[in-house]
This record gives sequence, structure tokens and C-alpha cells, in this order.
Amino acid sequence: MSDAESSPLIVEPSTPNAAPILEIRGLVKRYGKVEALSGLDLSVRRGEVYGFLGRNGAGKSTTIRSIMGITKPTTGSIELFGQSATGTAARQQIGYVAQEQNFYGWMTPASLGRFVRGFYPSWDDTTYQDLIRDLELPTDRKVRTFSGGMKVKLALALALAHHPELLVLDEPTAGLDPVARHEFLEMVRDQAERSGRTTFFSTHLIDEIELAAHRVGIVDGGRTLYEGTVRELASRMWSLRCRQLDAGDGQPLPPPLPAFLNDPNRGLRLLQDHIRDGERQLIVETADGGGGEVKLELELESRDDWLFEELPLEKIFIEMVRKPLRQRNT
Amino acid sequence: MRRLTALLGKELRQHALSGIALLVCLTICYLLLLVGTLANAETVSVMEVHASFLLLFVLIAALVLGHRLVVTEYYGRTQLFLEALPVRRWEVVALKYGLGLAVLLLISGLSLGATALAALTREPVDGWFLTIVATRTLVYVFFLWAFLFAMGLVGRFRIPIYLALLVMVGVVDGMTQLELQRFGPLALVDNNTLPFEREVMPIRALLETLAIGIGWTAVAFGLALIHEGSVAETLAKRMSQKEKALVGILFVGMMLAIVFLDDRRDKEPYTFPNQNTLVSATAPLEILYLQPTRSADALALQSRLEHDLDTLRDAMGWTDLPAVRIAYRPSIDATIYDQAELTSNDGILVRANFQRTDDWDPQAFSAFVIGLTLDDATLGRAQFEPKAWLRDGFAQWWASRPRATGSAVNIDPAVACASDDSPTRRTLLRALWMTRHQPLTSHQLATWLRTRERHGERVTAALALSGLWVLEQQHGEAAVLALAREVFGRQPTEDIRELIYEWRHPMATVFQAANTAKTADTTTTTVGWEDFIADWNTQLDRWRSEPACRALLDAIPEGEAELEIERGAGSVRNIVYRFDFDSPWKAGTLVTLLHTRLTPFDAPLERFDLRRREHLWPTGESQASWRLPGFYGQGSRAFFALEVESEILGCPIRWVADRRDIR
Repeated sequence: MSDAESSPLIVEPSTPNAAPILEIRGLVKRYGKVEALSGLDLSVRRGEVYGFLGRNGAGKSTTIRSIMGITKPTTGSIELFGQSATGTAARQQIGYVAQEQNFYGWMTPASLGRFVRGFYPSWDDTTYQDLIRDLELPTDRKVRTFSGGMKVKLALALALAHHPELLVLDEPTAGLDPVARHEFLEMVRDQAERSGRTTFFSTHLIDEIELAAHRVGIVDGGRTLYEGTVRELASRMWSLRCRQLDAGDGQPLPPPLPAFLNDPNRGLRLLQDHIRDGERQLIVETADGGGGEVKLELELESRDDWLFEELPLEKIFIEMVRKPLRQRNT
Repeated sequence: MRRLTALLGKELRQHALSGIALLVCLTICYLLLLVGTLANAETVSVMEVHASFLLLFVLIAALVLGHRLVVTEYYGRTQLFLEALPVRRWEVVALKYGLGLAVLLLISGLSLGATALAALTREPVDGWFLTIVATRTLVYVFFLWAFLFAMGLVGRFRIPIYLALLVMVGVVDGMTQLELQRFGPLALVDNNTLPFEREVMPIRALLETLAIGIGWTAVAFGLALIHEGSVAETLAKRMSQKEKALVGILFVGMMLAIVFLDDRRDKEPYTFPNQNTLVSATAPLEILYLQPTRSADALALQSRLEHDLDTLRDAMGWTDLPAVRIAYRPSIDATIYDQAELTSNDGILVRANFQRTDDWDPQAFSAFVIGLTLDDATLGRAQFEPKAWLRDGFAQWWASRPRATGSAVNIDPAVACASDDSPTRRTLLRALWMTRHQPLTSHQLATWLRTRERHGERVTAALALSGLWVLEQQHGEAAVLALAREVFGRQPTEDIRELIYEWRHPMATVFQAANTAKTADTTTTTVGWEDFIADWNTQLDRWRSEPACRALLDAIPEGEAELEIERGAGSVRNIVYRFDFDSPWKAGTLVTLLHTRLTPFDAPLERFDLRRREHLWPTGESQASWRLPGFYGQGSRAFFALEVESEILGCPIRWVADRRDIR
């Protein structure tokens, strides 16, 4: 694999002057012979909503468990609030919603609040009660009777009641129906906008990123493939389509590639090239979101037979995490 | 500190109800144990209560606590919720460990305190003794909790491990000479040592237990903490079908292997101390006489048994004899022989009062030992009911046959009954008495264990012996030996083949085969089984018609006895038993009620295990009745036998024998 294929293409953050609240460098985690994280890097800045995107098994939960101190990394560093993330003090400044809610079924939201209060010096009963009320949760009903959506809301209330500086959500919408998922993400976005709280959430669904995140980190195989704004991500890949030509003998002829695509100095990378539905379809990656340049070059070469379009984010994500063209062909 | 308080508060709230229920149950159990021990006249030390409480109830409490504090947490996966909180994993585990240990120590401490207070009124209890008991308690509880805490973290495999441990303890205890109660934790709470070791701290047992406890603690924390708790988390998952099948197969395999090995292993015979023990040079016979003054009695017994057993081995064609151990026990009646049950040893152990007094009958004792030898040599097949009469009769026959000359028996009833008292007279009269009203039937022989229970061991043994006398008189000693060899001389198997053999070889077939074998080298005419029984009855009638015998039999009062269950207060039932005879028994004749509570399943009863209630016959009375008040309750089941000692027969006559449901 070449350097261009394996290295993440870091894009400048949307709030470049903000200090990183969470900084991960070279994080490696091995479970026996299995390497869950292979030198992961990421940086979350104060006040932003950071979407941590990856396929199942990409290493998202291991990263979050490492941040929370539940798992100890094999090597690498995690800095929280400018300090090494060891001990419970740093964790007391984090609100955490796990992927799976394992509450004590015999507790009620009220008794659960009384229990969790003991772990956070900054716990605020009023905030907790307000959150419970706003989230429309019954105070005195046993948690074992709650639906999945109610449990996630309760987890969010518990995570926010001590005014954490950083809210960490590990695929919180997994298992929720589409409506509950949408409502939950809106809640996350609203609380982030209202309080300016840094929010770090993992997901494997690109639409959640589009809905809630300022910046996104894409992880695959335990490494960061991309870190930047959602807008920048959207401008990384472009689609070029051109109808096939008629060779005269009734056989279709693929149209030739525009010449600039073959120029190695342009910083462009041809990710896909295939014939489908009578068209030659290309996907081109630009190192710095230079979609305008591609369009300009097409015009300069008078290749108006080529149709130039933006790729949807989901398509970009798929292209990023699946094996590059050359690897697939081989 | 604040987070530990929060965790502690959570544990207390979560387990409050079950904790209170546990404490109430333990208190009730403790009080029952204490009252039972105080009320038991055989109690030596009240401190036994504490030992029993630690061994049983603290174990139960630890199991419950382990389940509540550990298993419930991991099965519910709620430990993942705790892990997400700002608390270290080891703090959670340590808090649970400490809480469980503290509760168990509190329970054990209360037991120790209450027991010591109760003991103060009955026995000396000083500070040093209490220190010893407290140290034993502390270390034992530490070990117990460490083990069960670790087992809680083993999750779905804990029940199979408990079962395997139980089986292993059983195997070690039953199949080896290792006495587990002498080691480590079991030594600390042994009922035989905890109340009585009052001077010396059991340092070795304490250190062993402490070391094992530390080991289990390390295992527990290792399971909970290594790989970020993922080992305990994985183990807590429910058992898959494959795992269940595997555990089942392993368990069944283990049980089969144990049974197989146990059947095939050579167990050591029971060993006596060298002092005051006679060891036979020719037979595997040892006699413990305890007191030097009994050495002459032991020598006489050894001489008799040595001869009887050696000749028996040769006659049956056995390669060896089971180890026979006789222990002198002066506290029991000379007419009662107590066979000890040996679980870890091979052979036979009998306790008897063999001091040569008027009551001691060496021939009867030899017959008893020979009977047990037949049982052991045939792996219990001698007690197979359709042929058990032969076992009883042959044991008597072997012990009673002329020893010096080897000549055949010659029963002359006139001579026998005219003699003052002889084994032949006694046997003859007993057999005649039993069959005085009805002839012997093949059914009585085929259901010999029931016949024996109905008429008593001595009378039925005499009847069985009379049968062999008849056979010997008519067909010679060889006929008896051939029959015995056919039944007892065969090498038995230990599996279903034996059942098939017995099914295919009923008494009639065996009898026929024995006669055929005998006639191969002699010219005696073969005789059938039913013909033999007819001959037997004819001979009994002939003997009975002898005036001397008839006179003796007529001198025994005839009559009947009955037993009635009488309602007492509530569910209490009294037993009323009455005798009604045509003439009075001699004043002072011993009357005995034998009784015992029965298990739901019928099994032969040993005389030694029966309770005795004895009375003396009232002067000049031909009727008498007695009452056993309040011993049995409604719904129980019991065996009762009513016996009157007959001077003429030299043994008790059983008038009633009944297994009854008490309504």
C-alpha cells in the first residue's frame, strides 16, 4: 500500500484556534494476537461535536473504552483536558453514554440518580431532575420496565447531570427505531448548541454525522483514515460520468479519460473506473477538496461529454473504507 | 471515599431484603441447633454447635452471599455499568469481597459469642480457648469466602465445579486412606476437635487454610481484573448447549470412571493397633482384645475361627479369604454381634463381647462370622433371598459339624432332648418349634429374608441347619458340600451377568446340579428340590414325635401376641402390646419389644440396629400388656417385633413381627 493510500488526509479543523480537549496519538490496543487499534490518532477540540465514524469492528468502541479508562491501551497516549487520561479525576469530567445500557433493573431513575451522584463531585440534582422531566421519563418506575429508547434517554440524563466538559456517546442510537434515533440526535445537537459542550459520538451511520457533527473522524482497521469537517469530507470525492461511444460496428467504445486525470502532479486519485448502464463512471479523490479544479480542467479540455457531480457522503464513506481499486483488482 | 460509600450503599440497598431473610433463617437454624444440642443427653460440649454452624450454615450463607454479590452482578452485566463510572475496577471487586467477608465474620462472630455464653453454664470456657476458636473461625471464614467469591466469578462453570468437588471429596474420603477432616479448613471446623482442642493452637491447619484462602483470593481478583474484567464477563454468560452437553458427558464419564475404579481397586483391610492384637499365621484373621486379661479368650476364639475359616476356604475352593477382624467390646451383650460397616476398607469387622462366660457361644459366633465370610466371598450373592436360607443354614452347619473326627452328623432326638443343654438340642427344638403348626414350604425358603424377620434369626437359622442335617443324613456330607460349592464356590461377576445367572439358576436347578455333580464320583441317587423339602418335613415330624422332644415343646406356653396403635395427644401415637397365653411364663422371663423407625424403602433390618424395650413377665400371669408412650407420631412407619425369651429353646420366640404405617 502506498503512503497516499494508507495515511489519513488531515483537514484543518472548523475551529482551528480552539484547544484540543481530547488528543489521541498512536493508540494501539491488542487483545492477544488481535490488534483492535493500530496507531489511531484523533483530536477533538473544545466546543465541537465530533462524529467518530467507522464500520462495525473498526475500533470505535475500543477507542471510547480507552478514553473512558475501561480499557488500558497497549501503547499510545490519550490526553484529556490537556493532561494524561489516567485516574478517575479526568473521568469525572466526562459524561458517558454506553452502547448498551446495563442499568440495575430494580432501580428507578430517582434512586439511580442518588447512586450515580456519589461518583461525581459536580453532580447537580436540579439539572438531573430537569433532564428527567424534559426527557419525559417517569421518576419512580423501575428501570427494568423501560424501553430501549427510554434507557438511552436516562443514560443521557445521567451523563449530563454533572455538567461534564466532554460528552462521550458510544453508538447511542444502536437498537433504536428511526424516530427515536432522530429525536435522540436532535437532543444531542440541541444540548451541544445550548451549552457549547464538547460532544464526541461514535456511529456507523453517515446520516447521523450529517445531522449532528461539526467534524468527523473516520476509522477503519484501527487507524484514522480521515479527520476534518463534514463539509470538507463532502468535497473530497467527485463523480465523473460519460456515455459510451459507438465504434461503428455496433460495439460500444469506452470514452477516453480526460488527460488531466493521468497527470500525477495534480494531486488527484482515481478511485473507481467502471462501465455501468452504458456509461463510463469514475470516482476521483482530491487531496484538498478541489472539486472546482476538476470542473475547470474539464472545461479547459472541452470535455463537455463528461458529467461532473458531488458524491453523497455515504458513498464517500464507503469508498474510503473499502479496499482501494488496485487492491480489489488484484 | 465518596464513591466507595456510594457503592456500599448500592450493595446494601440491593441486598437488604435477602440479607434480612438470610439472617432470620440463620438465627432460626442456629437456635434449633443450639436447643437440639442442649437437649441431647449425649452432647459432650456445647461448642459443637459453633462447629456445626460454621460447617453447614455459614457455608450456606457464603453461597447465598456469593450469588447475590458476584453472580447476580455479572449475570446481569451490570458490572459494565459500574465500569463506566469513575471508579477503578479493583475498588468495586475489593468492596464486594470486603463486604461479603465482613457479613460472614459478623454471622460467625455472633454464633461464637452466643455459643460461648451457652457453654459457660455447662463447661469451662476460658479466654485462651475462645481465642483458639475465634482464630479458627476467622481463618476458616476467610478461606470459605475466598473460595466462593472466586467461584462466583467462574460464572456458568461454578455449579459443575461444585459438583466435581463434591464427587472428588467423596472419592478421596471413600477410596483413599486420607482423612480430609484432618487437613486445612475441614480440620478447623471438625466437630471432634473444635470443641475439645483447648490448649494448643492448630497452627498447621491454620496456615494451610490461610494459604489456600490467599490462593483463592488471588484467583478471584485475577479473574475479575485480568484482561480488563473480560474473563469474568465471558464466564458469566449462560452455558451454551454444547457446553451443557460436554459438562454432562464429563460428569457421567467421571462417575462411571469412579465406579469402575472403585470396583477394581484393592482396598486395604482394616488395621488394628499392634498392641493387644492377635494375628493369625494361617488365616487373614486378627483379634483385638483390648485388655491383657482377655488374651486367653482371644486365643481360644482365634483357634476356633482359624480352623473354621481355613477349612471353609479349602472346601469352597476359594483362593483366599476376606480379612476378618474381631474387636473385643465389653459393653455389648455376649449374644449380640455388631458388624461394623467398612466403607474404605475391605473385609469384615465384628465387635463382640467374647469373654468366655455362660452367655458367650463360640459356635454361634463362628456361624455369624462364617455367614459374613460367605457374603463377602460371594460379593453379597449369598444374601440373595431365594438362596439365603442356605447361607444361614450352611454357616451354622459349618460351625457345628464335628470338628475333630470329620464324621457325619447323627441326630438322635431322644439323646439330644435328654441332654441338659447342647447346641444340637437347641437347634432341634427351635426348628421343631417353628414348624409345629405348619410344615415348611418352598415359599418360606424362597422368601427367606421375610421368614427370618417374621420368626427371628436364631429360630430360622436352626430351621435352615435342620435342612442340611436332613440332607447330610440322607445323602452324606458330600451332598451338603456339593450344594454349598454350587452356590458359594462359583466366582461371581459384578455386573448384570450375575442377575441373569440367578434368574437362570433357581434353587431347584442349583439343587439338581449339586446332586448331579456329587453323583459323578459317588453312586448316590439324585433327589429333586420339592422331594427334598418333603423329606425335610417328614424328618421334622419324625423328630417332633419323639416323646422327649414333644414334652419340651409342650412345656412352652402357647398363645398369641398383638400390637395396637393408640391415639395420643395430637399426632402422637402410643404402642400397646399384649400377650395372651394358655399358661403362665416363668416369672421373670424376659419380654422384649424390638422397634425402629423405617425409611420409605424396605431393607433387611439388623438386630443390632433395633431399639429394645424390655420387661419381666409378671408372676403367675398368663396375660400381660405394656405400652410404649409417645415414641412415634402419625404418618411415620415403623417395625415392631414382640419376643419372649424361651429357656427351653435358649433364644427368644418371636410372636409378632410387623412393618406398620402409623396412622
